[in-house]
Amino acid sequence: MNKINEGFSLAIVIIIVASLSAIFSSVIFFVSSNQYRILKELAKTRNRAILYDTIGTALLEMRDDIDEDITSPFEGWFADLPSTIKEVSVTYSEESSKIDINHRDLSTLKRIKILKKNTEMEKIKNIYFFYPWQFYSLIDEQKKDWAKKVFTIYKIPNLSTINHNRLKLYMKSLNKSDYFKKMLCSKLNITNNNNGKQITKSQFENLSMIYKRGKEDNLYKEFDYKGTINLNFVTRDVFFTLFRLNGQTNPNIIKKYWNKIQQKRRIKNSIKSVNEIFSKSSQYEKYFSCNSRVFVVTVKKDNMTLSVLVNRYKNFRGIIKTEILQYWLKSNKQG
Amino acid sequence: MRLPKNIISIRTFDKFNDGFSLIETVIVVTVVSIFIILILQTFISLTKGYNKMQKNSSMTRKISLFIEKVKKNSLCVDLYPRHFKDEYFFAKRELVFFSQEEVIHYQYGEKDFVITQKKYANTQINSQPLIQHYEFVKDFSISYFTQDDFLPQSEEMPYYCEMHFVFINNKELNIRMKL
Repeated sequence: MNKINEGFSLAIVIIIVASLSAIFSSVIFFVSSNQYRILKELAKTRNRAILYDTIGTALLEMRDDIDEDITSPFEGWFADLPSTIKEVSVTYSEESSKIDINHRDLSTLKRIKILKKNTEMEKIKNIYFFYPWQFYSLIDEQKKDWAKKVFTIYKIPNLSTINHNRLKLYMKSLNKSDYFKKMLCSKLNITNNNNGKQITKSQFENLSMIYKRGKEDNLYKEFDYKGTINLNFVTRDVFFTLFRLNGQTNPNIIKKYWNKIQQKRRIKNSIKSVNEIFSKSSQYEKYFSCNSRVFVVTVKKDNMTLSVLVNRYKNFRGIIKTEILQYWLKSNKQG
Repeated sequence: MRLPKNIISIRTFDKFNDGFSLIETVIVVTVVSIFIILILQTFISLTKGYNKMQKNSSMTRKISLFIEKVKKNSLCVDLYPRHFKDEYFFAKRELVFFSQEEVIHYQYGEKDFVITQKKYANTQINSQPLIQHYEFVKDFSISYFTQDDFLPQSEEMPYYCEMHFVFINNKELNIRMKL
């Protein structure tokens, strides 16, 4: 009797223990895998929040207590920007010193022969580029990489150089009223913008009358009137291309100016005024300056990267403001 | 003294018979039956609970993936250069906007919530849209605001919108998106 009972108990115990173990282990596996997934999601959300927080801090660094009208990689506020904020790496790149393709007469591109052979100017005349690839798709295959370094679509239009047809497209994108368009165009005609003359500070400030009361700041956000290509950052390709686009064909003149810029850079000396490079500076002030306006700020944490396009401008009270124009969030799926 | 083999087997058989009296058998069978029923019941309820938990978890996962998708779209809206107004569509339960070089269409119908994503392209190039249906969205509505938090006039472009989602588990979510 004893022997048979022992055997029976053992079998039952083994079956029960085995089935219970199977059930509990599957429950534990399920719970732990869920917990792992939740923790992973939480880490992702936390990283994203950290990135957005870091961008906010970086923008504060770009505007707080700064009263300089010069942007240079060698000295001043730009050189002093922190490369890490709360252990998150931050990089700043200058976007202003490229040629603004969205607001210039596209027919001038014929002068540098970069468009595809079958491109019809009439067809592309009214294309407003929302994404860079739209412009690059018009470029000859061999010159695409070069064009990426020279042209940008992310600049704020300069009223001293903007093409009228492109200005209309820009205002359409801002959804400006017909009254606004009419007023701005008439004011620009008064300032003889069609002749490409530099708009003065007071002429620009007068344009704020077109805006509703309390919205004057938008003028400074949406338009510029001074040269936007910063001589402290401009590359050789951009410098030479801009001259060729504007009809300057004498390479010796361009080389002379470029050599002056190079001399300054060799001794890590910032260019503080357009006069330092150009003898007749008045005709170049609408293209060049020593200050920058558009930047790309990139922050990285683990496998996530957040880049933002920043518009840094002085408002009507002369206070530096920053506005995020565009976000690009990239995450590595393996992470 | 060694006993012959047949004697041992007779004695064992006797012992075996001793343990199976009628009462003992009834008690053992009853106890074992109750025990087996209890185990089966536990097993069934555990399996049911497990299935329910798995179902809930898969629903939660689906909802969290959906929220992640909507948040990603809303955090990376293409703001500059701004698209022309006629390319957008703003309605109470429908919205067309641009994010990460894609045209995004949110629409809440009678049955479900639909997200249509399509790579932004010139008219010459056409790409196949990705259409996803989310049946766990019970309700969806959008409110639009100007920069000064007012309701936009008819011709005015909204500066931001607030999307309100209600899910099948009655959880609610508000997402603010700059347009």
